[in-house]
Amino acid sequence: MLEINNVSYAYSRKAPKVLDGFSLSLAEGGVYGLLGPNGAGKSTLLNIIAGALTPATGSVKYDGVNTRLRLPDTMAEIFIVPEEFNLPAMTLLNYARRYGALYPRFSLERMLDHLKTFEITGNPRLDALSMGQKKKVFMSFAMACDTRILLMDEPTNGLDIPGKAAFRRFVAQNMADDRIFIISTHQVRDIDRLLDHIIIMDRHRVIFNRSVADIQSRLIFTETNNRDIANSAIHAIPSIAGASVILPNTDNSETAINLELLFDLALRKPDTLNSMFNDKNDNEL
Amino acid sequence: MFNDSNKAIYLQIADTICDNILDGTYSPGDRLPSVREYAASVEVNANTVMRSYDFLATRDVIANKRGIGFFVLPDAPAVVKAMREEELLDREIFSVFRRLSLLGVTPDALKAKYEKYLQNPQQ
Amino acid sequence: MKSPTFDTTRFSKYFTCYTATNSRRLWLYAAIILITWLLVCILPPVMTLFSSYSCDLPADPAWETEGTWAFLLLMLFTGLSGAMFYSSFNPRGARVQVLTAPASSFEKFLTWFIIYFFGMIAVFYASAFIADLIRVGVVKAFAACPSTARPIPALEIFGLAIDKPFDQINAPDVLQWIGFYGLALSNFAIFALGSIVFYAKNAFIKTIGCLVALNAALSYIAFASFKVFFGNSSFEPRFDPEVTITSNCTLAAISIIVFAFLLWLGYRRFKEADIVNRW
Repeated sequence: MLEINNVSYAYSRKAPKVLDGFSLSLAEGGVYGLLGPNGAGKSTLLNIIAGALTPATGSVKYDGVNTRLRLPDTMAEIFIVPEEFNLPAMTLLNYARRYGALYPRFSLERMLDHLKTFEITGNPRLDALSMGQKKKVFMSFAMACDTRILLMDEPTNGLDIPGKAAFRRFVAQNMADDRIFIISTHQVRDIDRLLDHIIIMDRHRVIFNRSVADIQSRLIFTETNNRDIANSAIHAIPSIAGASVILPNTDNSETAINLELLFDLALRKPDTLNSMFNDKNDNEL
Repeated sequence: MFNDSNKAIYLQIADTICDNILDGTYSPGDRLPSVREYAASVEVNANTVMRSYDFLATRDVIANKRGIGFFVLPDAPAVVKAMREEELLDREIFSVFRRLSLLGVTPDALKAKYEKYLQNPQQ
Repeated sequence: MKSPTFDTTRFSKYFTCYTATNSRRLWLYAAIILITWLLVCILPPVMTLFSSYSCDLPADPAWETEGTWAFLLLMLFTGLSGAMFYSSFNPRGARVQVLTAPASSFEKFLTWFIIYFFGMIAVFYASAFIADLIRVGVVKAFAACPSTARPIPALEIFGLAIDKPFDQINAPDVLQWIGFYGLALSNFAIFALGSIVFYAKNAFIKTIGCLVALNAALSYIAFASFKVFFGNSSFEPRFDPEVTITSNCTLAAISIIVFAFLLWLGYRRFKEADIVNRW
């Protein structure tokens, strides 16, 4: 269990808070999407979870242990793939051997498997790779460490289209009942079918935080060319079929979630969106 | 079979598997790919695939043999056909009926069109 | 249950990981130390065209030179090593891996200390002796009186210019020796602390700047307070090798305390470090 408790952070005393009293409990077995525009505070949150930043208030605890203590046993179960990182001047296999030794469940075989998914072969010098290749290598390593918690900050940035598909296969294949994946991105289309739970941040606040199952039970996403429906929908965006709309789910049907549409609604009218999830029964009186 | 891309993903996946059972890709007794393998191949959350498999299992299309995997049941093709028929005639067809009635098309005219189609079916 | 602070296996894994990651840089550093010693040992005889090697000399003239240089170079390299102590903090993209690598802060700190202090010292002295041997070879080949050139006794190098035979060493000498090494240790600790405080860039230069400023300030305070308390008597700071045992003891003790304290401060700072630091 990963418990984020009342976490706040500001980059300096004068700067506005990037996070303000944020709390969330994450259970194992889920892929959590942390969505938001650039600068919303997603990287800050991931870094705090990983223990790489000290929150001004509150704490993050994994299995009851504060991650900021950076205890080796905790660090062996958390891996963060930042948006920007450096790989040392070593060959790939040497890197895998040396750094993998620090993670008890690291498997070189699994790493090579993942590299194959990304179509990387051989034993190149890590500092000679392009940014996209470095990302693939580092993600393959991260996944092969088999840490319980895997944090990925904008993992699809810098990946070409086959790379993004490989990434999705990669996550789908390696998610597990005892693992927590948190993927942050502003490219919602890259990962929308991978998520169990959606957290949306904007301007340093968390504005939406619900499971996919919850969303599907309360909202339906559909296309319509009926103007009346579009006008009375919770949210609508013009589309080829007329309009993409969000409607309340009144008859227990279930549609796929149009994550771009949901994201757009969340950024424009967060209160409207969240009001759909309050347990108000309007018929009761 | 046209996939309604608005359906919940787990239902779309269930539909695809049903298609595969009808066209023989999966025969009765065949073992389906593991949840994880299937999820990876379609790039979808494994829990979603699990939901698809559970959905089909409750409708007696497939069965879960603990520790081994999911298998296509011997009656699956018939079950799927019945499911599809029910879905089509008791649900999906209403949107067509609605438009026909708005246009004032009579049942006889519809029957004539259907008979003409059956003489020369297009795939 | 593994201790969260120190575990031998985990420590050795981190140690080999660090050396493998930085092997290029560490080899380069070792080469620089060796080359510096080579220059110190070989240039003087070559520049003077071996003229100092006449046959009536009681001792090899290079010994005194090299012994003096030993102290200066030791101060230089302890400073440089100290400034490299937290070098894994840069570039910025590597910082998160340093902080979140599965080893305790103590194990990481100890790794760096072993490499940048003990490792450097070992390379330092090995280089000194190698350079000296080469010098002997070169001199013997070219000087008018080859027999004058002899390898420097170990004591001269280790003792930082103690030029007595081993059996004549007394307590003041030992304390002076401890004092010199204490200075070197403190120097290392000062630059190591500077390396984490100035983690962003140019730690070495900034630390020197701080030291110069601090030295100037303290010297002025010492001078001014001396004037206040002792009127017009002369103030002559000097480092006198024949000073009493007590002063050398004090110097030694102070140096060790400063060393330990600064190192501890650096360790505390490291534990507080984040990928973005606000101090």
